[in-house]
Amino acid sequence: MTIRAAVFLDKGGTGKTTTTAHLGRALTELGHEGILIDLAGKQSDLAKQFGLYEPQQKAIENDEDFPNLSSVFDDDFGKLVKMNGADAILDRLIYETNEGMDLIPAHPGLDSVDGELNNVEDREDRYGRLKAFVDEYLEGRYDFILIDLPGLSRIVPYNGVWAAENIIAPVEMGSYEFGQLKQLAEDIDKYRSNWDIDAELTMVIPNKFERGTTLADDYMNRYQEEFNGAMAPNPVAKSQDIRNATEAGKTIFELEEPSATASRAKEAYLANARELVDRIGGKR
Amino acid sequence: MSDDIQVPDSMKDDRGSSLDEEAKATEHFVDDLAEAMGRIESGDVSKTIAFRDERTAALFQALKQNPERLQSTVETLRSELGSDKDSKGDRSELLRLLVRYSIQDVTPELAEAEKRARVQRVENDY
Ligand SMILES: Nc1ncnc2c1ncn2[C@@H]1O[C@H](COP(=O)(O)OP(=O)(O)OP(=O)(O)O)[C@@H](O)[C@H]1O
Ligand SMILES: [Mg+2]
Repeated sequence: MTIRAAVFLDKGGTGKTTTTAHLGRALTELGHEGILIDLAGKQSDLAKQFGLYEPQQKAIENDEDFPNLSSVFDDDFGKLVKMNGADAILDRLIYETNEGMDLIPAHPGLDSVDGELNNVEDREDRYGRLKAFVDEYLEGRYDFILIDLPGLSRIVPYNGVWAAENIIAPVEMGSYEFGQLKQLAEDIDKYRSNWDIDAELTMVIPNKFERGTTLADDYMNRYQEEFNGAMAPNPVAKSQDIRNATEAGKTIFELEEPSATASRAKEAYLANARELVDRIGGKR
Repeated sequence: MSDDIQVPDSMKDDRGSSLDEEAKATEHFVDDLAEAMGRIESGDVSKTIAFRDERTAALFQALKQNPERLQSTVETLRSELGSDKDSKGDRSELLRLLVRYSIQDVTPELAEAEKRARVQRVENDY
């Protein structure tokens, strides 16, 4: 069984992309083979995170960017696969990162997918296209699939929710963020009842955590109380190294001399990755 | 060209980034608009807007002192826009009508985008 999760919170800049990349790397470190899917939009942040932005832009310039992630949402994706064979198509879609995981990067074509799917009457079809793709071509091929979603409630991100069902939410410790997370939990309840899918808030990861401040401790308690079973075992420390590594196109796992905060963050990602496997793997 | 890949006819015109940039931008704008409507509805974003302009401020000050003129201006705009008499005809309504009128008159595509965003919100499950 392939472990699937989507990293989501209806808010920008909470660390979704960072979390996707680092949890992916942590899972790899633990011996799992996986793939990341970037539904988070045209900045192609995950490609940047692994130094794959330039090659991808080159492919776009040279008209060698077809098929791409947006093709997966096309009515005739199945036909495309029939004409060429799954291997040829997957070979084009999937990039290898140099940190062990595979990646399907975002593509500018994703921009218009929301508009197109908006006209699709059938709900399963509108929200289930990515799931159909994942079920058919990625399930069983990988140990895990992590999907990076944008901080927006739109059709494409909902496709990510349908495909993964397990939702990981990185949050900062604050009262506004607490409200956001409660909203997300309510939304997930709505997905379950309105869409009849098994959506679940699988893991809440406190991010950019600053240890030892009473305020952080207070919030931590509040979060623990409200999101009890969903809280991640370890909060992820705020670390300048995370920013620097991201700028340099890698995760902190690649740093030769990580700072104390980066080392703590690394341990946290590893512990959270282990727990994720337990939670999702243990469900079936 | 990815000439080693065979492309179904239906996918030929939306290959890569060949989709009309303008259409994409519009799509994006409509999405953002629908999004903003949601945020305003849920109270995340204020529904009040304010701006600073001496001449308009003076005009509105004078209209406040001359309610009949305020009323007649509001009515002219209502009939131009075919809008119902749904609020009390105060300065806030006048401003709202003026903005709507100029949007429709000067950039009808903005008004069109707004309409589509509304439709999108109604059609979406959320
Ligand atoms: N634990 C951390 N410590 C320090 N900086 C962090 C940490 N987590 C994330 N950041 C930084 O915060 C910024 C936002 O993070 P990220 O891009 O992962 O957020 P996001 O939720 O994916 O944003 P968006 O909604 O724009 O996609 C980035 O500059 C990232 O390097
Ligand atoms: Mg992101």
